[in-house]
Amino acid sequence: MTIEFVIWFPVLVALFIFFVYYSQFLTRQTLILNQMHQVARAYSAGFFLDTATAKAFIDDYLSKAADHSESDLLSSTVTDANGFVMIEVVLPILDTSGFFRFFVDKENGMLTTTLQVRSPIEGRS
Amino acid sequence: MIKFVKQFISDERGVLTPGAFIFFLAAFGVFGSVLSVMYLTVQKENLLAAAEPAALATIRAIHEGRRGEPIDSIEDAKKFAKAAVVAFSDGTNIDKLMGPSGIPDVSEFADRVIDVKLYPYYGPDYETAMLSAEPGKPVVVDGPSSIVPSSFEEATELADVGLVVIEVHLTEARESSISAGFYNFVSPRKDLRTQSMAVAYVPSCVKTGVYSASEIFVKGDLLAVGPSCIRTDRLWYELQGGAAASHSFNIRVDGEIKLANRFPDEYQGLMENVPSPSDLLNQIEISAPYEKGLDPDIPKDRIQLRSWRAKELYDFDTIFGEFKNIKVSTFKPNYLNYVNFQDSVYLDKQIRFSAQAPSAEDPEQGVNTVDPSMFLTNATHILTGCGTAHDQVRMLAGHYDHIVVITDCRLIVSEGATFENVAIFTSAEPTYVEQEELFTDMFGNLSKVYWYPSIRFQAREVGNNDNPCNNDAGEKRKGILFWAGRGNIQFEDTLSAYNTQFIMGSLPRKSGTGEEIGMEFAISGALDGKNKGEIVNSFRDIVKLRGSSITSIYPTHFYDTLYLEGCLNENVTNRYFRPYFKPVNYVMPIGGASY
Repeated sequence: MTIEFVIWFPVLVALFIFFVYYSQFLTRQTLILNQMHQVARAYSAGFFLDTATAKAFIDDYLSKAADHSESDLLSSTVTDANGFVMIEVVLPILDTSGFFRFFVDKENGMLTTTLQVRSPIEGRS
Repeated sequence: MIKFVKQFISDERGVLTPGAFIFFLAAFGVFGSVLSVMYLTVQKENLLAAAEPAALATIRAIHEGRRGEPIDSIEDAKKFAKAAVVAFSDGTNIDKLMGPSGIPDVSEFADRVIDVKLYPYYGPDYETAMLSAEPGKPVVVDGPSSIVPSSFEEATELADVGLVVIEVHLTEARESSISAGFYNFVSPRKDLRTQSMAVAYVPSCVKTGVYSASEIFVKGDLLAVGPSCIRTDRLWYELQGGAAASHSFNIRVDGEIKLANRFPDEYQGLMENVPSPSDLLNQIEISAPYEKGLDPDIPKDRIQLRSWRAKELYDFDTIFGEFKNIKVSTFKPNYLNYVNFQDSVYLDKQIRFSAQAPSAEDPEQGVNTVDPSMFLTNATHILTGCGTAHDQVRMLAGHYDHIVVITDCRLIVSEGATFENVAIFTSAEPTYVEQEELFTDMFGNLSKVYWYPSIRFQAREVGNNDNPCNNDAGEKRKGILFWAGRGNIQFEDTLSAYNTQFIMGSLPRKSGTGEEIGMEFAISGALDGKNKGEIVNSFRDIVKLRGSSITSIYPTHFYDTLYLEGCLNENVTNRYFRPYFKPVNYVMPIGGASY
């Protein structure tokens, strides 16, 4: 076992895990974006009676598809205003409550990203 | 330095370092590409989420303006579409985009990578194909693989635009990008180019069907064949008192329910088990905001839980006023003659006349009369002189054709009156006279009041069965419109309607801005006001709607069988519809697509 192996192999494995995780996260983000898009489109055509129903539909999907679905930071908002529906989802990315806590976000212990989708509501001018 | 390198090579210490370097380089390359592809996938999804609402906003802005401001040219429409993609992608400038000020400019980069095409509406053939297309996948392409024929050229007039196609060329935008090339090589979606489409259309189910903002009751059987629907938006109970009353309902059918799709002509006569494209579509839609209150016998696969918007209801005052003031733009039947003057369209012929008072021998005193000889073909008529008995005018038996009538009188359409290419508007409200004792009315209901509806129908046939789907070209096209803008219509006999549209009621716009008041508030106000929901459209006997529709804000009761027969490619010339809009890669509702 060489010194190179001792030093670099764990780094390589850590990087590999990080890449796999992040790649998986982006895939999930794509799926969630697609779902938000579908819901906004359906809302715009009248398939959801109100924002609460649309939000419940999104929340149900997020509980299955999102990473850290148990986190309090995972949230969705559906807003119907000025003839547009806007869906916003706050998506936890990385739990930083462990080692990374000192570097990133001491308050929440979680890195998040925000996704937004908008659509004009056909049901009204 | 050279000596140090030679020594490093010769002593073979650190032999793994160059190997590790090369290995890491390769590993990082692979990892980076994977991440890059994933990132581009997110980017593509973001682009789709921006391009599609932009296409929808554009087709709507072309036909309905930007909060009152029209889009004036094809160039402006394309500029609007590009600005919409940018606005929807970053969430900024949406208010400015839709507001009355100028259309925002986009960057040179956005202008280069966003391509907008505006086509005339082509028909349902390619729409069916596009319905099953993957979102974002180009379906309108150059070459033989396009499902749109090569002769399909872009629209040159704004009014002709029925299909907006927005393409975002992200591949081209990343000209030298290795990751974009890698994405195109490995991605199942193949291409970073996204294509989103939105169409303007008239829903087949409002061409043939019954819409009521309130309850729909069918005492007999409900039979439907072909594209048709029954829709209700009965929200007003909930809006007034929270939960719906226990006895109330959305749609109730006491008799049998039989619903069947209509096969295209090429499938007629074939064996029943031959698969047909129309099998995949749910042609008959029954929809309501809630399942609660729907008749349990309605097949579940036909139900769509949704709210609807009867756009036409907002336009009564506009159309009535335009005909009255000779200037016409909202509704232009093709049998009237028009003249253009200073960019406005005016009616060529308008006639004002008064209904005749009844003679002393007439048993129906107080009801004035008109007959077909009093009308001039291809002209608009302002009918005054309502009778002294509840402001009624009787349209006597005879053939009424190629006329528009606007009046403030309550109308009685006599048995034996027939119609072809006619539009009749009345602004009369229904009224009633309280009786001393309860009595059974002609519909079999116990009542204490005798109603005088806005229109009373005694005729049994409206339109005729010649070319019932109205899909022949040229002058044969026809359409009939009866619109009681402030009240209901009662039908005292059987009814067979062909290419006919009955509209009962209207909804207000905001004064000044002309914006449409939210449907739920308007309906609630219309029903709760002075009428307390007691105005009802009543159909005494069997009703056959062939390529015909009923649109009403009032409860609608059929006291016998309701038969709907829809057409696959019906023409709605001389009937009044506003276009509806939808993205083409549409959400398939439960039970399949009906639109």
